[in-house]
Amino acid sequence: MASRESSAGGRLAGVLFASCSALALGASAGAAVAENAQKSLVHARLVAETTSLQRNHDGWLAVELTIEPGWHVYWRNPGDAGLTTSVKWKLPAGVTAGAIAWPQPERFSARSIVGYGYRDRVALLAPVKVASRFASETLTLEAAVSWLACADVCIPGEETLKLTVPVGGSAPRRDAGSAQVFAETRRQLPQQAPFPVTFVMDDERIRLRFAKSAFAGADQPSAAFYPFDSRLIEHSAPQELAVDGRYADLLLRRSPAATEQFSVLSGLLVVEGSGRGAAKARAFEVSARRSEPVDPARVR
Amino acid sequence: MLRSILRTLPAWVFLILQAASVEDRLAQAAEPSARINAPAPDFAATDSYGKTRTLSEQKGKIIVLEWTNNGCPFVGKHYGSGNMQSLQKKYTAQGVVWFTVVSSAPGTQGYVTAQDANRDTERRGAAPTAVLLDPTGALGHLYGATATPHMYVISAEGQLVYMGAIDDMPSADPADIAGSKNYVAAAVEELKAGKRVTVSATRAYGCSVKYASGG
Repeated sequence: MASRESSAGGRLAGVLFASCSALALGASAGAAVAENAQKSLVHARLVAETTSLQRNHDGWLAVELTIEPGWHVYWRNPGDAGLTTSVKWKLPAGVTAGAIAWPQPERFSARSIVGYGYRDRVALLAPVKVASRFASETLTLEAAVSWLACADVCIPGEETLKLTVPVGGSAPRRDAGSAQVFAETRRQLPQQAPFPVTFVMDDERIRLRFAKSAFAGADQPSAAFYPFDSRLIEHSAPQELAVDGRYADLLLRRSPAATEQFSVLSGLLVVEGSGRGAAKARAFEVSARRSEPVDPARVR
Repeated sequence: MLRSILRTLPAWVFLILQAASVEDRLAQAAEPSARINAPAPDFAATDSYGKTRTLSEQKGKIIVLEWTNNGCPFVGKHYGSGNMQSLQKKYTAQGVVWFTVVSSAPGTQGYVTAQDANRDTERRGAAPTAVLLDPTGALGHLYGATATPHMYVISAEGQLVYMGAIDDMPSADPADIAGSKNYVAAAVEELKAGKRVTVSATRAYGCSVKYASGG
């Protein structure tokens, strides 16, 4: 493992000085290993939910990444370091792709650095729309996908994926070959929070407040906030939950990099509980509004 | 107004009481002390020639801190292209102090001995004022450095005025450098012109700093 990681890094940077066994590899051998290593770390695939697309209707696409065990790729907010997985579409005129729906990520913590991302397998879903004026009978979709795969070390990768689908007037049928990917991924997509969330913040702390009912009566509730903006909080700091009769408060440590005034804090609120009445961990997408009047002293 | 405060008083009292214990616990976790527009925390670190370098002895000069790891592809993006070296050369020639910092722990990617560090500097044609060796991660944690590269700019008055990414193109592709906005150059230029630094904090992109485990 060590030699593969280091060799791949060496294609880009100064592996010659890395203190590891890869030193023994010649430069050309290293480059060859690097190519293979990069290919095998992440396999990318572009699939559609249906066997054809219909004009004036939303279809769905998935960029599926299969990740080598021990490695991970990143969520829209990669955390303390890392790089957001990126999908850049190249589509013919009259075809548009919407924003990516990101499944709930995992939190990774190593050497006091926190990241958010995915292990093993993830699919990033995107809606696609074909305009009524689109004349051709077939459509070729192109996605330039790039990612950063990290274990102890990090190796960037990219691949351009193509998919050709027929464009028809009749209702599209589900593609049996992609049904599982879409079904599994939709189960991991965050839901819009059915409850309001508010916040107050001072220079050092942020307090999110939401109704206790978010825990659906669980005995030992826990909660975690994954912000969309990476600069907002100290990702490695503990998040402290306090629940009273009506409200739950989650106390976060504000990052020194969060220098501006925020009116809305967006992210995922993952809630769970154990014991009788416990619900499984659920991820809610929230846009917390700043509660007024703001008295910073009260964050404490 | 007063009525609404009184109505919610029990909740506020609860919060204040609750927060006291939380505060104690938060204080125990290692907390970076570097804050924007506050005095940059002083440090003493050994450079690759065995010399002790401190922040306080550089007062009156603009200082750039650059976290690095010679095996990280994002560091490779900026050294392989010559981007980092030209920034170092340009600004050290103008009297800016540039410290390259290595916080990789022994046995991790990017760890260097003093000799390795000097060889890297020579091989890359780099021109920092000094390379600071931080194998314990003390300096990295003090500034809250999480990524390589992770950049900091300190004013001649000793205020931290910038922390974050080197530029606005988070990628490992050297081709992206040409069209990018370099935040470090922008901050240094604004300082030199006596202006306020416009972009003072961004998200650093790159590899995680390879701190000692448990550090």
